[in-house]
Amino acid sequence: MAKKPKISTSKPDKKKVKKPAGIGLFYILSLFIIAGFFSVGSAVALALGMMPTYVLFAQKKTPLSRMRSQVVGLSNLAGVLPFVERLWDGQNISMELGSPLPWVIMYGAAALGYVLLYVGPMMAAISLQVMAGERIKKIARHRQKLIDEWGPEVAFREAKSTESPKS
Amino acid sequence: MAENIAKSAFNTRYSLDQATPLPEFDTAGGCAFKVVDAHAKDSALYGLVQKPEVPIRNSLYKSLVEKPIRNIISPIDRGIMTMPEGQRLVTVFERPTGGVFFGPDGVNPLVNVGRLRTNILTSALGGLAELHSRNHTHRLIRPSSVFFASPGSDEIILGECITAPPGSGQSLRGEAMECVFADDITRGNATEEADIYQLGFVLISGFFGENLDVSLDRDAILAGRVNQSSFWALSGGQDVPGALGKVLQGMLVDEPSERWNLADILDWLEGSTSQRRTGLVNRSLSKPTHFMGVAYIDRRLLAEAFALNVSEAARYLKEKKFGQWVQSNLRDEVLDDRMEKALGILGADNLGVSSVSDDQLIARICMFLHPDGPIRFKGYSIMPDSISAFVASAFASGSGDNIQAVHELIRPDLLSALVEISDKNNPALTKAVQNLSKEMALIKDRTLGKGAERVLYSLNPQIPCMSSKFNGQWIGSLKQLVHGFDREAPNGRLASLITDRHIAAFCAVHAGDMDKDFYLLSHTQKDPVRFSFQMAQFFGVLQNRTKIPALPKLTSALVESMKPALKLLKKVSRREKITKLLDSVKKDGNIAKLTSVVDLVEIQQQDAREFSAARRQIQLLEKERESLGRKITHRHPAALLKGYQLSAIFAASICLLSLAMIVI
Repeated sequence: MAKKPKISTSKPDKKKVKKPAGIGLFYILSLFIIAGFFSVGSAVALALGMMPTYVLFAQKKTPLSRMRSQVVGLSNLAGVLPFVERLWDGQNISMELGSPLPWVIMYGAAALGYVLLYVGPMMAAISLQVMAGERIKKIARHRQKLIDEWGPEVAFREAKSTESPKS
Repeated sequence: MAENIAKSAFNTRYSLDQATPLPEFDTAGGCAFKVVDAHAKDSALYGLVQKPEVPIRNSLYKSLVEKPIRNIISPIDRGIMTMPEGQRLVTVFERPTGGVFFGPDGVNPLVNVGRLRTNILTSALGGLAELHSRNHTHRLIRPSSVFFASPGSDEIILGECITAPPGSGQSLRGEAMECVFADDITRGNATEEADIYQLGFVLISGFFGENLDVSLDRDAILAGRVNQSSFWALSGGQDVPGALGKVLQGMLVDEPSERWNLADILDWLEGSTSQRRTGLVNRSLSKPTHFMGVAYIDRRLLAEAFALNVSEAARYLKEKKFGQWVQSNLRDEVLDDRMEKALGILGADNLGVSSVSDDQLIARICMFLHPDGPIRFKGYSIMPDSISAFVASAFASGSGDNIQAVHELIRPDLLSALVEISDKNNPALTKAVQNLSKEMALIKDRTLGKGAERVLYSLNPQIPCMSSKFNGQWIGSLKQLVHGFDREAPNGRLASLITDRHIAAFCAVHAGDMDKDFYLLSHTQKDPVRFSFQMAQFFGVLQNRTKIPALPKLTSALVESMKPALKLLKKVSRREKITKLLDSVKKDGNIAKLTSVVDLVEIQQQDAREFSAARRQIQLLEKERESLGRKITHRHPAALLKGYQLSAIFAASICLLSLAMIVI
């Protein structure tokens, strides 16, 4: 029998929600401090450019919200990093962050993260639906094989489970 | 198969000429016909067609067939033949050709005193001496069944004595006193002295030249013999002169302990005279007892009268107050508590109220009056060593009352009371009761293979199966029974055959140690699968024990009986496989293989287990299919999780790409 794909239909376990919420914040602060050592501008760019991510981090922590934060955060970071690198190289902060383009790029990257959060589950749902269809076909074949071997009786529900108490 | 060959060999060799009956050789066990031997056409033979209900003396048959006795008609062979009334056991004997000592007319002009003494007596003694040395008694020496060996010969041959119970068919005059009170079929083996009496009876008949087997009223004969002694009753008060008279008186003494034995007669033949004293045993009452208008002076005759009139006797004894009656009518008899208890009258105010039934009470009183006599119970008079013959005759009669009498007789309370009452005067009774201990337990058990039927075959292993299901077939051994099953199998009656009480009991006795099988059979009758398998196992055991290599019809019937059970198997492939297996075994006719290859009960249990597992699996699959059948949207938790993971990978890729571009 082919290995059955694990399709979890249950909601994420509430126990997993209770992870320490300060770890993400700890990473971010560490990032600021490291960046601040090299360049104050870089730290400022990080602090302001990563604002959409902070908003998500500030929300209640669940495994899904953490993943959402990761997606948006990584995407947001991809938009912020080029500017951090320029400021690191000694560029003037007002020159670099004074025009709207850097903000469009940084927040656009965050927006891309949100788009991914919308598109990802859709694509996953489509692929899971396809896999479930395949699995249903396999189940039907297996069921038919059992019926062929044991007769249609094997597929009948037991009397006590189908009959009403009155009957 | 071996039995079939033997049977066919017997049938091939001997042919019974039913058109030529030989009534002089008839016995209580059957009718005689001329037999022709294909291997020796000139030999004079006859065959006795056995009545199925009459037990034969099997150990005596074996002894005589192995080593024939010259002066006794000895069997040559026996086998099953098909007669108009069905299969019958036919025993073939050598036929003496000199004619019968006394023919049907009761007269034999050939006999004279000289021949009696020198030829007839000596040749008869020779036969008896040999027989007694083998610890057997003849018990059927009578004028009409003593034969001359050949025409003109003085040598006589005693008739055969194996096809009927001892003494059965002997006249009241010709039977020894110790057995004469018993019923015809239950006179017992008795002792060698009983044969001497019977020989004396033949000789005195020869002396007078007429068969003294005249039929008179039973009471008159017994009264005559008791009151006058047998010798004087037979001779009609006429003395037998000379030396012959001496030996006849000695041979016809009524007390077995005082009767001449073989040694005495041989001594007499050599000229010396026995010094035996007679008249030592006293059996008379101290004063006459009047019962039903007759005055009795002899204890035996009174016992006989009581036994024949049970209710009157019980009433009579109650009126007379038994204890007082004993004190006044019997010499030297003291009734202690033990004896009163055994008699069933202890604490009963001298029979005012008895703790036992009238039948039991009179049986006990009769034993008290005639302690070395027969058991007199419910109108039957049975010598202790012939209880087996009584049981056989009760079943042969088919009467419920007779079978009930068997149930009531073979009970420890009655028999042990009789032993106690006889007070060591009846060693045969003591021995018989000891030997019946197993039967006393069996008769109360009504389970299949036990009960009165089991007692019947246990006491009479030589008797054929009396089941009506085998009507017309002679089933005398386990092999014949198994062949009988094989013959009957195609009629679809196996279940009814195997649960027949007679067949089960016969099988239990002849196969031995099958109580467990019968228990399982009787307890699985309501479960067709288990019953058909149990039946196959049962027949498998029988086939193994009889070593019959193939029983095709029986195997086929068993397979067919198992097939409905196969339909209950759920797994189609298993059903087909077992069906093929059964069909292959059917061809072999080997039932043991059938049960070893196909353990239907185990297979059914396995099938039920696997079916249950398959049903559970189907339920799980259906549950899973149901859950998979729902539409998965992008808000489905699984879709969200997978989607976010995918997105995270994508976002991480972009981030790495951005980092890589910076580094480059």
